[in-house]
Amino acid sequence: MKSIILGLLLSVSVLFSGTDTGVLWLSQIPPQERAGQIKPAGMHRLPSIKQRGRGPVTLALWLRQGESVLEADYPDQLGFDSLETIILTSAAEPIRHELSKVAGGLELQLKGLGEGFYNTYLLGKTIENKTLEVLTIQAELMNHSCRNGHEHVSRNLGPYYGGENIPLEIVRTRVQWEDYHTFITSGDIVEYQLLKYGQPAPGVKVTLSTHHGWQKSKLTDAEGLVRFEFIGEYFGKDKEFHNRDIYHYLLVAEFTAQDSGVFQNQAYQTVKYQTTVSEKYRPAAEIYTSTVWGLVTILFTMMIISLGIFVYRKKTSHDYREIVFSEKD
Amino acid sequence: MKKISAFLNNGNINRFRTIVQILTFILLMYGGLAHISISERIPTFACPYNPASGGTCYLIAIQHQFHTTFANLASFSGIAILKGLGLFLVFFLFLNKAWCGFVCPLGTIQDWITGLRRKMGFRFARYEDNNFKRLKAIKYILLVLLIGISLSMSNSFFGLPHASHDMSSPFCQVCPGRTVLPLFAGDTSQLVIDFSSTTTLVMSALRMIVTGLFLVGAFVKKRFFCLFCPMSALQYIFSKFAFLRLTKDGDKCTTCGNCSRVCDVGIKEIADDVVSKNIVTDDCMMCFKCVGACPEKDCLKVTFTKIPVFTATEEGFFKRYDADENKEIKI
Repeated sequence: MKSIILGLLLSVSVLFSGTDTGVLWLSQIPPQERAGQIKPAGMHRLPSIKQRGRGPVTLALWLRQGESVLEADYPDQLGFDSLETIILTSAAEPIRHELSKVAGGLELQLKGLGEGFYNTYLLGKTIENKTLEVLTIQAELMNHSCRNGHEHVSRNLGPYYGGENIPLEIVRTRVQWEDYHTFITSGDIVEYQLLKYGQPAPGVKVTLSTHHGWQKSKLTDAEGLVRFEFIGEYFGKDKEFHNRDIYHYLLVAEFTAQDSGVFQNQAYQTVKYQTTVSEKYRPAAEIYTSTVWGLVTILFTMMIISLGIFVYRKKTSHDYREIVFSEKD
Repeated sequence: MKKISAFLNNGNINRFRTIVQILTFILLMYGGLAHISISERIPTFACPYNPASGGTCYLIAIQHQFHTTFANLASFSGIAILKGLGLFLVFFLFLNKAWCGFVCPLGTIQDWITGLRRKMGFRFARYEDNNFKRLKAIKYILLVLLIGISLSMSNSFFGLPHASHDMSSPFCQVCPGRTVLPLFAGDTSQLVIDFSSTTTLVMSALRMIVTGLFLVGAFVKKRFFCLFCPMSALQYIFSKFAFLRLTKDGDKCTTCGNCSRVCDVGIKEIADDVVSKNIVTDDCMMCFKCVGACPEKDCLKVTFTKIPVFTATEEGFFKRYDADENKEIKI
């Protein structure tokens, strides 16, 4: 059952230090200070707080600032006039969540999660110079372990979106045959839809930043759709290819609209919408697998075995011989 | 009732089986296209590597579940394994090993390859008795290995290091079904050698070799792979409790050998054993060809919860083989 849990509306009085240091986003990469307490959970290797045994997990995400996946800061304070948390989930139970300051940065914890999807949105609003800045910080999470079977999650493949509750949202279009094991891989052309309060947002600039800093910007089409091809970024130095390596990417979409209104008793004439989402991708299987070698091996095996059978049959077959027994003998 | 019984007993079991095989093949191979997912605990080779699969083979689930620590096995994971096994049994107990003879897509493909061989006029092969006995042990070894290797990825045996995660689902890594079945959905992604690590290279090469062996083997030997199938070994553990049974009345058997000769797997006990009542062996796939080829009334019987559903009769035998006293009977 889908349920939308509206988080506590927070008033955050803490401000930035004054300089614009880049976009804010929710990252699945822990700050160095927290890395020791985090372990990957489930098929999608979500960052979870280490615990004994199995069962419900506590997932953690960290706020980061800057467009570089590898070098973005982990800020320890936010500068919003208001902050709201929305969690869209398939779980029946309400989700306990907490945004708190930890060693290394700001950590959002989603507690006691079973299998299912948990789309998280931090909605921050700030008013400055008669411009309302509306930031949606997204994270799309699918908590699933193959050991628990798949029947209960097969209906959770989505995509799910917050609809009219979310000012600006990026939704990844599902691929053909998508299942709970699907990862985006290098070389894939992935489609996203940008939605403003649940409606397609055309003509908006969306920027993709890959794990190692490659960037590409595109405008959404009339249906709010934009497609990016993921470049190969494997830089392994070992003899063996680390096909389970996981990379993170960041998508940022923003535009300014001439919408006027009042926010916290202050009038504004323009609204700057921005949304960020970070997800994972992997090296493409085509890089480290070969169909030609597969076929050659099968055909070679077939040839050898067929030859063996032919020789064996030739060796064990006997020419027809007629033996005549005479009763007189 | 007598008429229904006569109709069933005189029926062509091979034709019936072919129809069921085609229908279940479509269901299990393409069911996913219609969003059908029967279960993930099916006692047959419904391969999840086939993107259009309408169900999932229990072997992959059991390998995943045993990929855990002994401590976890003694907790919730143990219950999850029992729950999974329970669902597997719900499916299995109804059809017993007829899952192999009537439902298994990999078995159906082997039957099609056999049909091709017959059309091409090649002679089929049988194992010698001693080889048959030796080879049939392989499926039990594979069953132990698939559980043991899965456990060894999370546990240390005799102080040895954990097995590589690249060995995950070890049997699936060498199963020819993983290569062959997705091809029917147009997916060639499993027909590959994986060069990413030494382990994946060895395992994927082994799978290609086993696939080659499977294709040639199925061509010269009927149901070649079934003799080595660990699913068959797992099924046999619970076979005695199943509702569908194949029974024999030894007193009525003339040991003519018809049943053994038509057996695709090549089980000799079916003809030689005149003592056992339950005649299902670990290699039997319950195709019931033996019942169809038996001319002795009530000698071989298929029962469901002890109710006879298909019985050997003289009349049925002659009808099926289109024979009379003056004709040669071809089995």
